[in-house]
Amino acid sequence: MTARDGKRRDAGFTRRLVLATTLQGSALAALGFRLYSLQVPRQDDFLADSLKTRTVTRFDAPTRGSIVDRFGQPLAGNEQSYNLMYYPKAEDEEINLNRTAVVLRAASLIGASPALTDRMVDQLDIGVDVVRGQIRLLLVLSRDQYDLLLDSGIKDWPGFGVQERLGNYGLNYKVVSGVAQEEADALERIIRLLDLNDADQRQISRRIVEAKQINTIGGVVLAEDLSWEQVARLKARALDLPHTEIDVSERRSYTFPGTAAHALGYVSQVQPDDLIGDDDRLLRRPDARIGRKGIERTMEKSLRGQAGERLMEINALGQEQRVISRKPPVPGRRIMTTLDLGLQIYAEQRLAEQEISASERARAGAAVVLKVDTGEVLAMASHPGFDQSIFSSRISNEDWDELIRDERRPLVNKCSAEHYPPGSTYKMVTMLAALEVGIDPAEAVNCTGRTEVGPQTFYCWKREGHGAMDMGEALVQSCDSWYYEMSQRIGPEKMGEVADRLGFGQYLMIDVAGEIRGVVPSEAWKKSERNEGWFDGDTVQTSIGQGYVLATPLQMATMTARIANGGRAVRPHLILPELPYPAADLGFDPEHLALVRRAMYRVSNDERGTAYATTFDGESPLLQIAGKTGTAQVARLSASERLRMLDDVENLDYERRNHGLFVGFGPIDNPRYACAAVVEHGNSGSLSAAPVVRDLLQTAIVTGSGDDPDRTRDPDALVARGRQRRG
Amino acid sequence: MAYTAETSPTSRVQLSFLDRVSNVPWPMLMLVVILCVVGVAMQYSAGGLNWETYAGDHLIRTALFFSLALIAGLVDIRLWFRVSYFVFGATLLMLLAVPFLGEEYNGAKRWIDLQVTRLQPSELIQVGFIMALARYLHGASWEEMGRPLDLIFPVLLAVLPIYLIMNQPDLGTSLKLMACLSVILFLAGLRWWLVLIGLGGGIAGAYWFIDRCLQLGIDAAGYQCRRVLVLFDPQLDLSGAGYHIHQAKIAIGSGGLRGQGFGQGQHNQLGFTPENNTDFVWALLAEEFGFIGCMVVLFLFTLLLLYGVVTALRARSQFGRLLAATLTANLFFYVVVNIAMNMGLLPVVGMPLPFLSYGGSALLAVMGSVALLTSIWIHYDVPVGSEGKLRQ
Repeated sequence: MTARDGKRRDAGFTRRLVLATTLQGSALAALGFRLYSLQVPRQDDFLADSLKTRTVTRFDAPTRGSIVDRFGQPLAGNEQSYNLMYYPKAEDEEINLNRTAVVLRAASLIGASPALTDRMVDQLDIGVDVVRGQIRLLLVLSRDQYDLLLDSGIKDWPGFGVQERLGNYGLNYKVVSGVAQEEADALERIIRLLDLNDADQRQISRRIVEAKQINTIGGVVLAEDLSWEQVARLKARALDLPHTEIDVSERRSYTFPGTAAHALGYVSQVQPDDLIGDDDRLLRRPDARIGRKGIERTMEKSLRGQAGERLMEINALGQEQRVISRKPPVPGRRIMTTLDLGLQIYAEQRLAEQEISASERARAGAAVVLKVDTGEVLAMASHPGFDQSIFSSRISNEDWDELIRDERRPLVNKCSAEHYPPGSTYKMVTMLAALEVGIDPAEAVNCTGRTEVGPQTFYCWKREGHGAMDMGEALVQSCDSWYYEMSQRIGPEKMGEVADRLGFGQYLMIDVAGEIRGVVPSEAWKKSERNEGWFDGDTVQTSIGQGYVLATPLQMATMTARIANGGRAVRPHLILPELPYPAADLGFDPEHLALVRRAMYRVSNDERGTAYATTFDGESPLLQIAGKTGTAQVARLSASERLRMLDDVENLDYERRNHGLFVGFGPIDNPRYACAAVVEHGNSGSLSAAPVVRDLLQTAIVTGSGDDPDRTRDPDALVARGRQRRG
Repeated sequence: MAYTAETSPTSRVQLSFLDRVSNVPWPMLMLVVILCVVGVAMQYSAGGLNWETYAGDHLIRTALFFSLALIAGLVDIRLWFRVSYFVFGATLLMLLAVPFLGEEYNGAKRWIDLQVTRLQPSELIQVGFIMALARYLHGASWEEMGRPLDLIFPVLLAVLPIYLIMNQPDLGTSLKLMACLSVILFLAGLRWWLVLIGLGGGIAGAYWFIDRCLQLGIDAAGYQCRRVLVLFDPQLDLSGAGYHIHQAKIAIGSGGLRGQGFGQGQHNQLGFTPENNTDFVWALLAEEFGFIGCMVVLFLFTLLLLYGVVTALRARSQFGRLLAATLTANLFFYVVVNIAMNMGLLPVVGMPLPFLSYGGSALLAVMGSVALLTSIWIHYDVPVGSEGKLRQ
């Protein structure tokens, strides 16, 4: 190498190194500038971003409000339940995960039965679809339809897709947000391509709406109500159960399962229809329950409470680190009912124990006890009842089928959601109507056992006849002939008007839904419902509470209360109000009411009274009650059947036997309680229903049920008083 | 005046141990020590303020490698000159073994398991590669640098490691090797027309690649393309390719002027910034020590790089100065690529930040560079082999 060459090399090296170093220096300076622009002027923006990234808002479910009786005794509360949850991750993160294997492992750990295991697997697949807003098999397709859709480019249509699995073809759907118009167009195209009929179109639209509504927050409930041991076993193997968690949630529990089941109602899983018009996110929790029937349903919004919010700091794995801020959930309101738990339990037992023949007990029936001055429902028993707590968990199909198939209709509240012909208990309506049209109470009708009205002949229940009957005696002995005769003079309009004032043919309950109206027949009613004209025979039938008349036991009890309280329009209610509801005067003449009450007194306390045998209880004015029997004919009986009804009821088909009814009030000189009872196929009101009413009224009187003049709203005081009262 | 080194009366031929120790570039080593301390502190923070997660290992490793570097730095530059091809060969063998013995992590095969420790040959080879190139070009005269035939050997030497690393796949490191090759050829006197062709080709290639990515769009693009596209908008793939940049930017931006304080960077402490003890340690530093802290570290790196440049300028042998300058350039690439990708200026590639990132192989390579720089500094004027005799 020459010296010249070496010199060039040295000079070149130095120049070039300086050049390279300059470039390097510029790059470093650029980094400095970038650093400055990121860090100094925009720190607040990035801090806000950081906060957003590492925080998450979780919402906390409130405790469902408890339901207590009028003394604060608990009827419905909550207990903790440990649930095994599955929280599905985004689809692509789950590709390598065998979901079914996870759930099978969990099932074997908790010792699930084969049936439960199957259900868990089903639940998981359906649940994951739900969480992701997917519907598999929106529509089953034929091979041709599948090809047609595929060729038409369904893969590019938002929301829709097709699947082929084991030779079956189907249309799938997945909720995609923000493409409503495109989705509607795609649906239109599918309908046109497949030439779907209306029913299929409706079905598809409905299921799409469902999918949009019910994408629950979070996860899928695999198993509920795990025991401590099950929880421990699951926790020990947590690593083998990816995406599962054990959550604590609250489950509705009933202090006395089966007691007041119909008044309280029950809670069960949320169905898509429940979300229409109620988009509370609490309902979208996977373990959400919603009130069905009774107080649980009517007071759902109050009982549910409001979700709380927690701003949580999480780490990159989504695990909670700390709570930044918290808005506690607002627990559901505590509902204090008008019920008297003691009387309620007794009413249910007493109804169930009632004999309907020498060897049979009541299979079905209802009893209601009201406070006559306010209309508060002290007891509302519908027999048979059911254990409402089975609905809180996932009710099994067997349990459900059993309840549905039971011909005694245990799920129906026979006090307010079932109606019966009131029979002779309706005679107070006719009697008051007679008084109002000016019929003289002393005017006698001679009962021969049969009455001719036009071309028809009507028989008194006492075929040999009662002889001369005045108004009072006709009620006491329940002489049908007097009513047949007088009904023609009263007319159906007047009877209908009085029935209306006494509470028939209308919804009565102030605060809890689920009633039926019953029927007070009128000419207009018959025209519209039966498309027939009104005959005099209809008036005759109506006067003794047969024919078209139908009333709920609650309406019968309300009528009795209104008669007993001097004609004030109390309405039954199940939730204790701050102040008693106002009860307007119904416009009855107090003397008329006094006459009716006097006659009702004699029904039970006069030797000739129809209920004397079963309700007379000595001369003590405290225990004496007043009432009226009713026997509602269910089927047109032959002469021999009628005879068997009297002597040999056990050999008469249960279904053909008359219903037994009784309404009553007490104490007689200062009525406080009204009660109505229906014993289905109880043969006669006097024999089956009257003893129930007597016992309920006497129990209410003796225990002073609902007798709390200085009642305060202080729940603790009420609880204390309730305990004291019950010793 | 390198060409005169052999004959210059002032040049020293043999240095005693004392001479060497007294000539150690202590200020440069001090810079290294400070950066190492910062590194240990960052590892301590990244491990959740715990010695056992990373910081303990990192401290031991740093101390060990620094000591080795000090010893190696005292070794005569001529020994390093002689073993250059051998070092390259050894590291190349390791690299060749990766496809057969390698372990896969994050979709790439970069590591081989030596039972006691895991090695990443693609880091180690960078030193061997630069040594071999410097060794070869040491013998290239100015005139010879003008002959394309004489450049075939260094290019061939580079092709295999670059190909192997690109196949791991580790695009970042292979590009860096290409850059080092370019730098050393440039400094050795590559003719300008070749430099310009190279530059033009590089720019055209980058342009073509970015343009193709933009046309493909985020969904159709491969992962390399996605990493480029998210530079323009991390929102395109926030949970995938854009995640690292997005989270790192938030962490860096949250630092502000003064930082959130040591161990107080919530975005990092809660694990949102991924790899915040390795490739994204800069984001951790930025969140906890802010602009001021980052500028201090950047300044320390700049001083170190300047030391490297001065070492190169001071060295009289072609081998020494090419080696010093290219090792410095390599360090520069480490620092700049890493910091730039942390701040969303370059696509995310596997590139540690020297001294601060956890990981032994890169630290070993960086400490090796420090050792060589030290040796070059000490032996700046000893004559190294015969120069400019490529074809004798």
